[in-house]
Amino acid sequence: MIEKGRISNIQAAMLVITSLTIIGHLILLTVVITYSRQDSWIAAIVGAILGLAGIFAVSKLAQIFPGQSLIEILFQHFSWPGKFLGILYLGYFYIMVILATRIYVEAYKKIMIQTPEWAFVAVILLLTSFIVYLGLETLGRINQIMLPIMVLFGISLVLLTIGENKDYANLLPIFGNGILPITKGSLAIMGWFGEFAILGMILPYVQQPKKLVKTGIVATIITLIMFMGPLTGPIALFGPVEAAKMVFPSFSEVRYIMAGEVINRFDSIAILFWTVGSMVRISLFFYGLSLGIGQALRLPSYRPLVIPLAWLIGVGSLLFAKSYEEFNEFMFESYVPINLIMGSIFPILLFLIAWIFFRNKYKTKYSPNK
Amino acid sequence: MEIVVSILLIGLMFITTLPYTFQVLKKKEFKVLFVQLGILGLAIIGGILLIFEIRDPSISSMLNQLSPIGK
Repeated sequence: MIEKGRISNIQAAMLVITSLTIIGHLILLTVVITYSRQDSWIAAIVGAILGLAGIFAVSKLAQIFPGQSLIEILFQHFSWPGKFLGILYLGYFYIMVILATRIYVEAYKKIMIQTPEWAFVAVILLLTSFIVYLGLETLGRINQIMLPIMVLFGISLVLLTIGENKDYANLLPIFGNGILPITKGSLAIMGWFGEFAILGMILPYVQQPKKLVKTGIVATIITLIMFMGPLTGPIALFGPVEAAKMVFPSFSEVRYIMAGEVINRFDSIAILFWTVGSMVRISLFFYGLSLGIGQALRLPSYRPLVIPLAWLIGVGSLLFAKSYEEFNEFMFESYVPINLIMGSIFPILLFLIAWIFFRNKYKTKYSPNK
Repeated sequence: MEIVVSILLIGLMFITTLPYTFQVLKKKEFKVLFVQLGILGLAIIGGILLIFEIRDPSISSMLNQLSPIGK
């Protein structure tokens, strides 16, 4: 086994919570608000419920093949179609890591306009390469320290924005534009929860594999709760039409906070959180990619691949899009279908095939009498 | 100028990877070495494309071409 570290179920859940929350707060908000307007919160709930199917499938796959990651399962048990799918998953992890790096760059470009893009890429990749090189345990522990702090500050920011001319009547009328906008928004959210596919790379290393489904469900509920504040806040403050036009609606919302005469400019805190969140997200997908390549090619270690991959990710993130407009177009046109296919459809199909053909093995491993 | 920057980039890539390549060679893990070189090769091609500003089509626009949405 290439990875020898172990993380707790809570650490695994916390990793995906941070990873999903950061892209949710930064980019996905605009997509959902554009599709569903004032009904975005309904779309979020429906999407999360639909997304549970993919999460359940990934968790069950990890239980059917204990101690094996998604890539190992595909390469060892599903013949040549599995190998093809495994390569697709490696490509998916690569796209997700360059997307995360590009989101980090785009967020920083909002405040440091004259700094070249490659400078941001260099900083974040130096940091994440070091984390990935140290392994899953290090990543899990860093996140375990950072996430509670981020949540505490996040809650305080939500409380501080309550007084900022928010009008929750902007969330009405419910179902005002019919079912179709909610369906589109919920599919975007379902796709977003498809990123839980990365759990397939870390679930074999959790301490209590029997509780994986529960871990997945709890992580989904917490992610959804953490998404509700930033989703409803900009709509209440700016209205659904204006919020949909914004590049980073939650960032614009935070800029409005003024606690007395002295305590203001909370945008710096928002940037700090996004930096930490992006760091965890990039590290998680970077780790999945390195480990996946190592396991697919049956290498003795994934660590010698970290620096070359960091170069490839850096170059890929700069080649990803020519401008923010192109990047935004990707979020509307490709992000959702890619995640729906890789995070929901394929895991469900794999689970069904595994459940039919490997059910006996499953029963033997997890029989309550054993 | 672009050629000089490209050479510098390639040099920097190899310098940063050298310690790991050396470790791999010491353990005679040639498979890992080939994978490392393959990944670096791809990164070099991408880097040169960036330096010569050949960014069309970008990765996102290629993926958008495959997407069923927005067509």
